[in-house]
Formats: sequence, structure tokens, C-alpha cells
Amino acid sequence: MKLRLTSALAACLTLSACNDPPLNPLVAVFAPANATKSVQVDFCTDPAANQKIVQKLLIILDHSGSNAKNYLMSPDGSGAPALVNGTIVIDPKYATDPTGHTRYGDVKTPGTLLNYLSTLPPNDPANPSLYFGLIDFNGQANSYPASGTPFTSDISAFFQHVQGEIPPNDTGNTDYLAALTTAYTMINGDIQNAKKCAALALGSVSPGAWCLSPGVSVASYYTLVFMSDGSPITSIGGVGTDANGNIVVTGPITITKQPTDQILGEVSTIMGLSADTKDVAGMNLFSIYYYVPGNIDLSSQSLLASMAKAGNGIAYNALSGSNIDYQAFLPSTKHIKYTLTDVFVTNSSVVVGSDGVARLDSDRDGLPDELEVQLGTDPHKADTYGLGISDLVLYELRGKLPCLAKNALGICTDALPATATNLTTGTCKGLSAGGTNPPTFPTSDPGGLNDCEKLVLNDAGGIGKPDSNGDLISDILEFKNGVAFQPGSTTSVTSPGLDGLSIYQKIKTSLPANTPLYQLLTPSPANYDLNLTSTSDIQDCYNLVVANLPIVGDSNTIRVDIILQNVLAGNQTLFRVGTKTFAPGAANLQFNDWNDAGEKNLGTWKQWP
Amino acid sequence: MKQNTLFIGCLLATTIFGACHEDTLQPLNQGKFAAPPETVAVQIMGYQPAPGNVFKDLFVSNFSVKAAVGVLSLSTARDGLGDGLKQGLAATFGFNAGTNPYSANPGFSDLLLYDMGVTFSQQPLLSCATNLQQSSTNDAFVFQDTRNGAPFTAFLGLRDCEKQYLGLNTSLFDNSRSGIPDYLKIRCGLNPKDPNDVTLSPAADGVTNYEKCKQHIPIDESAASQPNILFAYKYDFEVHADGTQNLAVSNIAVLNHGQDNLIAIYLTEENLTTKANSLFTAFAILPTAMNGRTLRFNYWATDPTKYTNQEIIPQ
Repeated sequence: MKLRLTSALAACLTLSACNDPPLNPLVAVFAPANATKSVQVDFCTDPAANQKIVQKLLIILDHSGSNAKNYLMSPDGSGAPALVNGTIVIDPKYATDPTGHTRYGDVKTPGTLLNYLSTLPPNDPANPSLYFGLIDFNGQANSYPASGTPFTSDISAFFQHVQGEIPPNDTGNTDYLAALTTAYTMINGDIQNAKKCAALALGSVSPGAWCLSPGVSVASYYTLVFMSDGSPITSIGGVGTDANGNIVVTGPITITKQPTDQILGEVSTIMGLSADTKDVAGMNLFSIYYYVPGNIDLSSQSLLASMAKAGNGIAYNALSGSNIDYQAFLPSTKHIKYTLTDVFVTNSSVVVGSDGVARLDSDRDGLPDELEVQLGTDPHKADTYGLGISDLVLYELRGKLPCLAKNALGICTDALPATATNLTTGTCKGLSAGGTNPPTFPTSDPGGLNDCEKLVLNDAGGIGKPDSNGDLISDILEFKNGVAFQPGSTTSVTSPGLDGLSIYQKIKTSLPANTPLYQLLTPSPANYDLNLTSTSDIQDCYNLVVANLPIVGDSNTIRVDIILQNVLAGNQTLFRVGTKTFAPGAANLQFNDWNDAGEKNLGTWKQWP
Repeated sequence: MKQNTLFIGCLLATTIFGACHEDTLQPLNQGKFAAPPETVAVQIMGYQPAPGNVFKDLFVSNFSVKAAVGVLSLSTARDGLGDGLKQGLAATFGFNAGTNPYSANPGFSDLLLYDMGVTFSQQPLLSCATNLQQSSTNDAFVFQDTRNGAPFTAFLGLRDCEKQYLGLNTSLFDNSRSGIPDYLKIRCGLNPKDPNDVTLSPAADGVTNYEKCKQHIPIDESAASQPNILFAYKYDFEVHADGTQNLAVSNIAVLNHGQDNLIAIYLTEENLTTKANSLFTAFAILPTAMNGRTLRFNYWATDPTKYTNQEIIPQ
């Protein structure tokens, strides 16, 4: 056998001819490698800036009777009356603040409440930064503003109200719990208002003073100043009045106070509201104990100190008639530095199919041209029917079904889903569309989907947010890759293909998100080379080169998503989205960041917020 | 490297075909190269989970060394800020680049003040009540620092008031349930409130922030860079027939030959029934000439009194 084969081969070579038919050309059974190009992005994080703080100052004033008329206290520091020759000694000299000067001061004395209020510049009506609330308490608690409007930014009106409380009406017991419960109600109401306000449509008409900027999330810094001259005594036993109305001792002196653990528990409940870091930038409770020299209620002083500790604040002691520096209650300002959280560079002009092959998407709607031809939509029009929503969104709404009938131009004539496309009765009827043919729906964020598209894709909660589910991937990148992006979904961190790569990693490197890596014949991930070029306490700068980015044809449009966060202060996330197109024939594409004058002229970047 | 490849390719083309169509050679990028650092290893012998628990993860970190941009720098205060950075920030933040991680404000660490951007003039407005200067979850390292003439109680972690200020629950050591303890997350530049950021990989190098934090690699740098390949910690687990394990971490970079370097160890477990997480912590302050050696010791958390803040004395 070996001899015969060798002989045949020798014959062919010798005769320079062989009668076997010619070999057929090879058929490509492997997917061809995608053409690739590289993109360079030079950028710096946004410079650090002072955090905008809306401060809410809640002043809580004791109006118990001891301000006007008080007794000599027992030297045991309990706050109980002392007995001198078997009687209680009541004298005007023991009154802690008969004129109200300790609590209110006057407009001329620097550092007092009235001086502080009278010298404050008015708020900017369109953008107030300082709000006030007041709680007066004795046996009960009353607030200003009254319930329903927790805080006021009208400094002048607040000043007038506070000034109008002089001379103070001081009588009755000292109900700390009533005061603290009222404080909780005011702050909680304010937080709920902030939530409701943020949930309104961005740019919609203000519903009132409680929501000057609908759709905008504003966190407040709450400062509580709790001022009292004595223990929370609710009753004193062993004391009565004689026929002439004089106070007399009728038995052993006993005092009943509100339990300390309840009071501190209520402070903790108030402080617990600060766990809502989205709406609460911070919270401190300061306490002030004021007294007459030689007549000190040590238990009250101790309780107020404990309240300040529980309130993460400072306890002050003040002699009657002395001044309180209200400036000391201002919250600290944070100088927010943003750090890079992530960056994505993707080609909007191609769709990488489940086979790993990049296909041209001329209109950048997320459907490759060849699929659009099959579906009967225009490959060169992102919104074939002029509905205000992209063909990819429409494809999703149609249940990804094939087209049943087409017209002469090849456009699908199947019925359109009315709930999504009817401007009068459809899902988007409430949105103010610019024009009707085609309608231009508002785009509240640079995530890549307009507000109507988000509504019809069950993402009403994500309007105004480029990353609806908070997984730090822009909505459009997830949607184009067939990944859930609506609030509550977290599928991007999973690896359904069990191939060691998460959906997030595949989206980032331009691999098909839902195809296991081992099913790709020529997997070709984009290659990121990220380098920190400088850093300071103000900002960080980076050079990023993304090579191996899939390219089809010429003039592809590249999208860059840069996500910045202030990790600790404010917990704010910034999205910077840039789009730029390769010049014809160019091998590389350069992005400079959003502060670059040239990029501004080109309108390369969208910034959020 | 790419330019080098291009150059070699062009050289070959010139040799074979007598021509090269590259117009001009691009300038070579200056690479960041690091020399191999001095290292130590940690070996935990005879580890067994607490009854009812299973092992979740192990994190080891040399708190005295900060790695960034291919350079290892000393953090004398062991607080996650390099000495050079602290000196540079002294005027703005009032930091003192000494041994105290709370050099500007006794209640709020320098690291937190820096990350929060609370500058010198604003720091007096921050107060930390005495009863909030502890860690309710015992997730901090607390010990006497005797390196200078005035010994003080060092605190490396998050005080309750710091957690409150950050909006964290003081009774939890891993508020985001990401698997990494809050303090370590902050040291790595991650958000202790964000459950998702550990899964990201800004450099797209296939190594997530979680793994980089664990391996002591900066989260915004590629793990494939030459310095980070050199600096990355290596974890190795060995299971024995009796159910015990030896846990080893090697290639832990040290500076000053290891002297006064603080090695922090966090071990997490999960209860099989309740799914509650538990934290076990220990630390070691290395003597001089420790480089090249292995810190070998028996697992410390053998009873509840030894679960956290256990000092390992190098032999």
C-alpha cells in the first residue's frame, strides 16, 4: 500500500499532471475576526466642590413655670425643692429666665437668637439654603410653623414670630417627651416631603413651598437645639396650697420625672431618621442647660448632656442671661472629591451578535441593519414609524416577533402596539411631546432612553436616572444587551453562562452579554488600558486606551460612559456620557473630557446631573 | 509594549521585503516598573469555623503600606494615607504625618476627613461623643501604640460616631453585605453603602474591585501591570483530613524590612442556619528583619473572648 501511494505521487510529480479534479475552495466555517480600532479618552474627574447643604435648624425652648418662678432646689441635685424650716422657698431670684433674655436675647446683643435671626441675610427665594422650626414646650408642645409645614425658609417671618413670643408665657410642667415627639414629627414630615418632591417629574410645576424643585433630590442637615432649665418633672408630691393660696408642704416631698431611658430612646428614634442618607445629610442634637448660680438641677444637667451624646452633639451650660452662639450649630461643610467608579467604551454603530460577530447598525438603534431588513424597519432610521420611540424599543414591545406583512418599501405593516404609540390614550399620553410627527419626548437623563421609552419599558421609576437599577451601568447599555435595567434588577453581576465572566464584564468589553464564552469561536473582548496620570485632593486624571473595539465599516459612532462617585460624602453619582464618530478612514479616535473647550464646541458630552 | 511589537514587526518586514510602510515610529511609552518588594507571609494553622458557621472569606492587609501607581509608600499612622500625602495635606486638613491616625480630630480619622472632604476650618464642627468613640461591632483594632514618647490608644477602624456620620448601622460590620468589612472597603476606596461596587472592574482587566481590595491592588489600576503583578497578595488554603484548614497569604509587601508594619487580618463566616455573618479579627505588629519570613500562628478565635482584636506576637 505504501509503495503504491508513493508510486502514484511520484507519477504525478514526474508527469506534471494528475487527473484528479481540482480542489474546491475552502469554505470558512469559523466566524471571521471582527475588525477593530482603538479609542483614547483623556479625562479628569470633576473638581472637588463644596457640598450644597440645606440646613434645617430646629430650636426647642422650655416654657415651664420655673422660667418665671422657681424654688430653691435641694442640694442633692435631684431637682426636688429644698425644705427650709419645713417649707419650700419660692423666690423670683430663682427664676431661670423671667424676661426670656437667655432663650431669646435681643437684636442688639451679638450671639443671641434674636440677634442671629435679625442679622441673617434673606434666603434666595428660588433656592433657599436655611430653614427654621421652633418648638415651645411645657406640659405640652407647640410648633412653628404649625403641623403640615415643618420648616420655613422665610427668615423674616420666623424672626417676627420669635420676637413676638417676648415676654414669654412660662407656666406648667416640663414635658421633654412631648417636645421630642413633636420634633420627630416635624423632621419625619420634612423627609417625607423631600421624598415626594424628588418623586415628582423633573421640571414640573412646583406644588408649593415644600417642593421648590420638583424631581430634584435634596438632602437636609438637621440641627436640633434643645434648651431647658430643669428636669422633666411631671408632678411633685407632698405639696399643696393653704387657704390663702400659699404653697405648703403636706407630706414627704416626692417628684415624678419622665424616665431617662424613654427620653434617650426618643432622641435615638429621631437620630434614626439620619439613616436615610439620601434625604438626610446629617443630624446633630445640641443641648443647653441654663440655670441660676447656686441653684443647679444636676440631674437635668446630666440628662441634657446624655441627650447631646445620644444626638451626636455637644452639651452646653449657660448662666441665665448669658449668650449662646448660634453660629456654632452650623454643620460642617464637606469638600466633595469625586472618584472614578467605572468607564465603558462601546461602539453604538455595531451590534455584537450571539455568535460574537459584529454587525453594522447604521442608525444606532440597537438593531443590526440585516435584522431590521427582516423585521421591516428602516436600517437608516432609528424611529422608522415616527413614534418617538426607537425601533429596538418597538421590537421589544412587539414581543420580538417576526414581521408578518410588509409594504412595497419593505416596511412592516403589522399593527403597532397602541398602548405605547398612541399619544392620546397610550402610556406616554402624560408626557409633553415636542411635536407629533414625529413626537419628541423629553429625555430626562443621558442614559440613552427617552422618558416615553422608559415608561413603555416599565421603568417609570427610572425616569431622570441614567442607571435605573443603580448597578452602575447605563440603562441603554443593558437594554441593548437584553439585560434588565429596571429598578430592582441586578442581573448584570451574574454569570448565567457559568463561563467566569459576568454580564457586566461582557457589556464592558463588547462581548455578547448572553452567550457563554465557550460558545464563541473567536471571542474578541475590547482591551482597556487605564492609567492614572495625576492625583490630588481636588481631582484625579486618567488616560484610557481601549483597543480591539469591534468596528464595521467606516464612521462608527463611539459612546463613552464615565461614572464618578463621591464615595462617602453625599453618596452622589455622576454620569458623563460622550459620543463621537470616527473620521472617514481614521484608525483612532480621541476624546478629551467635558471641560475641554474643543469638546464643548462639538457638544460631545452630556452631563448628569 | 505595543510600540515595541510594532517596531519588531516592521524590522522583520524591512528585512524580508525591503520596505516598511509605517510612516513614523511612535515614541515609546515610559512604562512603570517596580522592583520586587520585601515581603512576608502569614500562615494561620488549624483554622476551624465556629460551631454552626462556615468559612466565608479571609482578608489580610498590611496597614503600614499603601500601593498606588506602581509605588509602595509608608503609612506611619497605618491609616490608609501615605505619609507624603498627609504631609501635602497638612495645611488644608491639619494632618500630622506621625503615628496617630486621628491627628486632626480625636473622633474622626484622618482617612475619613480626607475622604469626606472636611477641611481644617470645618473640623471643629464635628464632635464625637465619648460613648460613640467605640466600635459597637468590635470590628476595629485597638491597642497601645508605643512607637513614640507618648503612648496612646490607637484605633484602626470605624468609631460609632464615624459610622453614624456615614449613615451606617453601628451594629453591622458589613453594611452593604458585599462581603468586605466596612473599614476595609473605605481603605480600598469603595463605598460601604454600595453592594454593587465590589463587582466592578474599572480597568476591565477581569479582576473585580473585590479581588483587588483583597489582593492590595488599587481598584482603578490594572492587575496586569508589572508593579501590581509584583505587589498582589496570594491566598492559599489547605484542607486537612481532620476538617481543619491552614490559611496562607504570601507576598505581603512590607517596608522598612517589616519593622512596625501592622498586618491586619479579617476572617468572615456565615451561620448555616441564620445566615448571619460573623467577623473575627487579629493583628500583628512586625519586628525588624521580618522580611522574607512567615508569620505562622495557630488560629486565634478559639473561644468568644478571643474573637476580635487579638494581637499576634511574631515569634
